[in-house]
Amino acid sequence: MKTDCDLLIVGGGLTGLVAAWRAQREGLKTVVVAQGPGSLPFTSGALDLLAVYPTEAKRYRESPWEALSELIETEPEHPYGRVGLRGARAAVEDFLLYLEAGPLAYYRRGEENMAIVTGAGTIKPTYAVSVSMKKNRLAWSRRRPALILGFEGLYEFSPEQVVCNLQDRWGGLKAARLDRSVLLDGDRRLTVTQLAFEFERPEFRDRFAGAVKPLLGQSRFLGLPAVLGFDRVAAVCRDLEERLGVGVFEIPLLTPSLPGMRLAALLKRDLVEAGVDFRQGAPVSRLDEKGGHVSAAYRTGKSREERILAEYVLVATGRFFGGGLEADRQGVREMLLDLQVEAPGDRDNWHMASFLGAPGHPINRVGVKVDSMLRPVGPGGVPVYDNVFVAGAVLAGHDWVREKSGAGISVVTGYAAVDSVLAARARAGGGV
Amino acid sequence: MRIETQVLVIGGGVTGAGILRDLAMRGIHAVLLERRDLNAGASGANHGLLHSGGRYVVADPASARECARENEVLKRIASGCVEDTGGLFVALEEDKDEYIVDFISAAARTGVSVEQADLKELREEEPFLQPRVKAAFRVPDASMNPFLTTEANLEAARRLGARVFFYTQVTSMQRDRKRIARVDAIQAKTGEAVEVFADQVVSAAGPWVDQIGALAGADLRIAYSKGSLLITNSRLVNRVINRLRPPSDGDIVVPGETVTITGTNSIRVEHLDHLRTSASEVDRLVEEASRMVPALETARFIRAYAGVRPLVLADRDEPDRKISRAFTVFDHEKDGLENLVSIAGGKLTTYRLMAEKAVDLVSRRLGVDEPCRTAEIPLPGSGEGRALDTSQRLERLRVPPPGGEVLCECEMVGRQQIEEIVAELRKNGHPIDPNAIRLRSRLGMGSCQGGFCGYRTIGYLYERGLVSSKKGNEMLADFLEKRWNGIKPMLWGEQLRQEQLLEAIYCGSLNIDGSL
Amino acid sequence: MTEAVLSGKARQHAREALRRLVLETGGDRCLSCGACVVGCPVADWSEERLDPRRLVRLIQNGLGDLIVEMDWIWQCTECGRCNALCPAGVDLAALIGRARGLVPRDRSPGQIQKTADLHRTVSNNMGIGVDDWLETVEWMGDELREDIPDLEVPVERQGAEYFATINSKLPMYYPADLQDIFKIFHAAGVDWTLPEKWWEGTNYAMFTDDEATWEETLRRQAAKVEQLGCRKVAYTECGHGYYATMAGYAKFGIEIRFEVIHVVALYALWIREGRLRLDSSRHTGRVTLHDPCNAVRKASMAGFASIAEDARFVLSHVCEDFVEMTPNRDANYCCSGGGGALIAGFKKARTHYGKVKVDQIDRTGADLVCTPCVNCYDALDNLARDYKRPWRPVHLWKLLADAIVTG
Repeated sequence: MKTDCDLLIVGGGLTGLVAAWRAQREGLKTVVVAQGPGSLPFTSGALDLLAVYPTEAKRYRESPWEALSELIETEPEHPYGRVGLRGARAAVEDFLLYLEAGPLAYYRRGEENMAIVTGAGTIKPTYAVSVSMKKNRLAWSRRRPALILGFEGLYEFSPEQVVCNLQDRWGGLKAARLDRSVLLDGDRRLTVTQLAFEFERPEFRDRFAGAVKPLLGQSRFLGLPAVLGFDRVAAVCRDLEERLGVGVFEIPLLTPSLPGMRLAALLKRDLVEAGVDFRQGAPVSRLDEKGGHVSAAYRTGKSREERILAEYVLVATGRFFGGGLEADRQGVREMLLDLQVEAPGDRDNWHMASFLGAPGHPINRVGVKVDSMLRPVGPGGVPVYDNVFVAGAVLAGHDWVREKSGAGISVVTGYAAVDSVLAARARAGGGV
Repeated sequence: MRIETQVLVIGGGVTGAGILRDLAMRGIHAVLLERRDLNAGASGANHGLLHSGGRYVVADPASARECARENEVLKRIASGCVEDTGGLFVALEEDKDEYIVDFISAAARTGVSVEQADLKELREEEPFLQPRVKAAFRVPDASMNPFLTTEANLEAARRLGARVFFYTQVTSMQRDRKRIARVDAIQAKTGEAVEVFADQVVSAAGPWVDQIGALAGADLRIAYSKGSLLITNSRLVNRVINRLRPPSDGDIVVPGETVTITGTNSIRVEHLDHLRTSASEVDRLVEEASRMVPALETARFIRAYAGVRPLVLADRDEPDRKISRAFTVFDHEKDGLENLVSIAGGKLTTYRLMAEKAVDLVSRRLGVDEPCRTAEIPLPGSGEGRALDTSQRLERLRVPPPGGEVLCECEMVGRQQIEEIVAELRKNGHPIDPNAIRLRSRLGMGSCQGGFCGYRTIGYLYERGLVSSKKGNEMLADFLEKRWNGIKPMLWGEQLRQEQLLEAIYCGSLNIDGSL
Repeated sequence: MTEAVLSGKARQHAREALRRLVLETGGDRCLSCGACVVGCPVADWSEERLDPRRLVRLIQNGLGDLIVEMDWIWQCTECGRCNALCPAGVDLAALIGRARGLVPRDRSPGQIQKTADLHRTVSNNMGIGVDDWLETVEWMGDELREDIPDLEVPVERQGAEYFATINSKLPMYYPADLQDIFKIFHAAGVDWTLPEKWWEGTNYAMFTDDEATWEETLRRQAAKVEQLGCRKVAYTECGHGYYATMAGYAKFGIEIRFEVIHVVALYALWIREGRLRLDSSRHTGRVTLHDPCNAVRKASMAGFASIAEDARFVLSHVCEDFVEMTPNRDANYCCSGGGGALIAGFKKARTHYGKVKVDQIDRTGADLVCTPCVNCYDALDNLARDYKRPWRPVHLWKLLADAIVTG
């Protein structure tokens, strides 16, 4: 099988999806090759932009844009630094307008970060959340009486944990659990999946509402683990609110996380319907490259090798989790093109002595170094390919886990990389 | 709190537990103090190997004999803690033929059962073993779970009236001429002071034995030898694999529960706390073990841990590998102390014998002439008297727990098992936290190293009202940090991906590192 | 299974073979994250509650023999949703496949192995002889010729462009469906042929991991294609047959001088080329599409053409009220009959986890559930009956044939 395309995106995580979305709209014939499901199913689905800066001080920032300006100033090699404030703003604005108009009805609080309650009973700052978490923010910020409800046998979520950790700051918060026998037949083990299936069934919601109503008391909100269906969460929330007469919200959980999976599913659906050729599974196994130019990629799965001819290639392969980087006992490698990556000294220095401490593990800042066009560079900062660009977590110089900047880096660099492709194409005389 | 007893045992490792049981079986009232939880020292940081004695036949025949005897005894009385895997000594092409000859004759002299293995059969039985093995011998090595062993000994002693206090650290001893008149301790979790009045004191504090001795003014000459071990996330071998050469680094591979344990090395250290395994130690152990089992080169390692062997010094300059791994019972009468006994050295395999010797001395001093019967009566949970095979040991992987309710997915630890452990901990007045549950189950021992199951366990403790306020989340962070020490040296390949996922969840999704 | 399935030697072999495979297929990479469980319609729904993670753990620890003896491996529909969601790239389906292969052939449940054996010995799953086959083809052709006088049903035509495969259930149980297929090929005006033997468009040997039979049936079919000198195989509406063929050629290193194309891709091609004139208003009911796992998710993950977009393109020309079920395409749920489950027995379990599919379909409000796979068709038909639902499955060839404007 042979395919031709303008842009081959390697990686189907948030970065790859965002870039494909933009590229296709700009008229580029786009192919995405994703090896795995991407990282989104393992995130809260909340979009972080930048909430902690500098990470050494663990300083929480109410205004991500203010923090971003400072970061760009002081860390020009950070992915945000590479793109700059204007590009970052434009990308976030455009992408959020799309998500806000879509079925997940993402929500943000103007230009500022918001705080939401997590399943650990912690408060997490973020920039935008899907409709199912909008009232999570509202309930917490107003500290209105709320019932946090769990399910007997669902070990991913303990309502008591949420309440115990927040009750000193949130009066009128209470915890309850529903016995599975009230809701379900049989003795199947209770899982997030099973509950999601059930919440999509009107009969179940009816039974559920009947069981919950007597527990509500003075509560104005009902907080539930993020299990309210797979792809109709807005409708499920609305329906529950009508039945119960209180605000209903979801609380993000331990992985795998349905809010993240919903976002991934939505993006993939929209891409495929817009004509992007999205292929998951068989990975890119090798590339044809000559004189700093990549002309084709080969994908090998259980069938014969498949060749994809591409004018431009975007590396959006993620870090260690996504498979873009791999470490062995000797060092760290970039897996697609063996791009230059420097590990922070020998292995004893890769991580701090504390798992959760500040400022973050040195290895988290390892990645691919790029120029301002997001082209990978070699020694001396010179681009090593004329038609390869890099975006997302695989980039060097950031620590998204500690900065709380994961989604932002994906969106901002995903957009910027497509801008670079368009610019390179224009220079090469190719019209769109 | 004031405690009066006949014998105070210091140290909650397997030796202390064995001593407590032996005392109790001889009708002697005893109390055990442990400054942390069970097996916090070397008892929890070894191969989990029930030696056949083969390793010691050439260089240390006395130890070999002891091991051979105790191997038989423990397979009988501690069958519930032993998986009778069998073991092999394998000579690789580069190993010296002379040692093979010495090994065979020394085995005959020391009573260690050795049988030459057919190499073709062996390749079928152990497909991951180095194919270029020039000779192999079967020995009755077995895999032994040190946590179950200690717990079973403590349980046996408790049933006979002995008492155990964890998180209770001995801080000083009041001496009255030739006797320790009072031992002072403090309970770490509550800050409560404990005063113990005992006729006899037995120190089974492992490498801390010299520090305990010093509190009473006894001078013990101990060197600290750190040994590191690495574990993979699955079993690559079916039997214990020993390198047939003079004992050296990285020459034993043990299948234990759901992991393969490889090690160890021997590095002198000056301090006992904050033991770490360096990247270079890890690399060397992987390289050495891979010579016997090449798949270890690319296997997924999940953890490193280090224990300290207390080496009893005759001469401080003797090389550590040459120092006898036999144990020593110190009768402190020579220091002018009539009621202190210290015991040090030895190994998991000989714990029962060590206890017997220590208790023999204490009994003599107390004028008790009950004989030792610990070699005859099975431990609780070992009533069948036949060691289990792998599928019995790992039954939990096959049969889902009742209701399918699993808190730990790597090791398939069910809610019911945790409920039982929690009930037992409460009964014994033991602090309840994920670490205590981990030590008494396999929770947190698998690939995720507590990342997922630790979280679920905290949720469970909140659900049951066993923690309240923010304490549970603090416990969780503490649990994760404690596991981290053993995780950090192993972060490359898949285990680095695992760490990155967990960090993304805890810091990214849950913001547990900086909740607003 | 109550009595031991494996003898001593076979048990040791099973343990070590699976342990080796688990390393080769990435089982060691498992992160315990549980994404597979979220994806799997069978985990926790079956009586053995086999969480895919437990499957990996057992094999890793040298207890793969216990898996071989579990019903679960046969209740699994090999739909590949676990693989698609696994961030570590663990090939769980491969492990299940191999575990099935380690079950002695005479102990595999239901009809799967018997079906594969017939395929090998007689050249098709139903054991239909050449004469019966030719007679059925002729009879159906004759009947159809009453409506289409110039209809030809070429058999054994040397040098035809397309070699058509047929699911043997058609001549056996649903011969009239052959007429829809004939009608489409005729209307497209392509040069095609049916062979007298090796026309089977399924391959159940893949589902018992009977590699010898899988390979032999593929080689025999390939030889037949080359004997007739056909340049293309129009693979019939079957998910797994298509997948087993594509994957099998690569797996067994079978060199071929022709191309295998799923017939749905050909329908789409022929519509684009203007060969088929269609009237989409003939179907007034609401239609939804069930994506067959093998020809969509598994095909695309394995690196060969998925029929997802072509199927939608065709549907847009043959009905007016099409509605997607969700999730769909690569994320779709199995019909409950995949992986040979439909003929392996375990009806209760299958019906149980088929509820997910029923809910999916119910939500669309469709009257017809189109599926370009005979196996999915039968499973959906069972679900509709068991759950007393008003909707019915329909083959794409049926909708297409009915929409063809003649004259």
